[in-house]
Amino acid sequence: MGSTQERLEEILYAMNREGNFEAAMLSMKDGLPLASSPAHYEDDMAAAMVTLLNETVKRINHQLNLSQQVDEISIVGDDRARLVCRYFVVDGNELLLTVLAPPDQSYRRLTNKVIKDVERLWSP
Amino acid sequence: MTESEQFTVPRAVLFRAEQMKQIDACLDELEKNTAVTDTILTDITGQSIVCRGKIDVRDAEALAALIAGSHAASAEFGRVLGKTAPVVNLAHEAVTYTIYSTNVADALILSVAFGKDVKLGMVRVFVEQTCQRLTEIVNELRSAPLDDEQVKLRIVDKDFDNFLEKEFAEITKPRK
Repeated sequence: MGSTQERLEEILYAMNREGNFEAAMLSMKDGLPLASSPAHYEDDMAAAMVTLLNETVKRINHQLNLSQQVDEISIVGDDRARLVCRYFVVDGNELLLTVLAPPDQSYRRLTNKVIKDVERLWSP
Repeated sequence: MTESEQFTVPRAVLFRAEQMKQIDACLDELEKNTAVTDTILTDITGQSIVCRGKIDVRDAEALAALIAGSHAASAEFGRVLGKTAPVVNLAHEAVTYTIYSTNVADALILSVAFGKDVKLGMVRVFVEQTCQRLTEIVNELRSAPLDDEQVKLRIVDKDFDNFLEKEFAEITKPRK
């Protein structure tokens, strides 16, 4: 049995394969990467950018009196490719699951499954 | 034995065997979760308590002192900059490895080394978890400290003479 990081990367790898996603990454809300697939994906930069995005969304929510708990942020390019950021809390840790999905590819079911798998793995 | 014949070597932390077992279990869990390659637990004075991995024991002693010095230096940086908050975590990032160390309850320093494939976030999460457990152990020790007599190293003149004679004989022994 590998380390927690290795097991998380296996979960992300399986999701990427099933959803034909280009890359997936799990990070802390403060931008520290936890796991990524492919393993050598530039996750430091990606995690930092996603955290920046998160801060911006929180400010927007605050200014517009929207809910403070963000479930998802998506950025869709003109080629219909999508950057998806899913937010969730495990054992008191706020985590972000980021996925690069190809054009018109569904992602909710697969990312929901990964979130459940991560919660199961993380729980003592 | 008179006051002048007794030397007391201060140690910041001294654990019981049972507590050492608990510490080992914490570090086992940390290593299992994070795949760190080396782990050193020292007290804040730079005395090595636990050393795991491929580090030679003598190197570990030196490293323990360096880590404690590094934390002390960082605290001083902060003080010079007018910062009052204590330094908790330090990360030395090299091209192929990282050393991450953290202060545990102002009594211990837990340091781990890991390769570039291991994510810093993952190490940070599990080091924090380990710190919480180690803090409980330290607090337990603080609430029921060891008998002071057990932490004093007493050296009487006769013992010291014997020790010197033995060491002298060892280093002057003709080599084959």
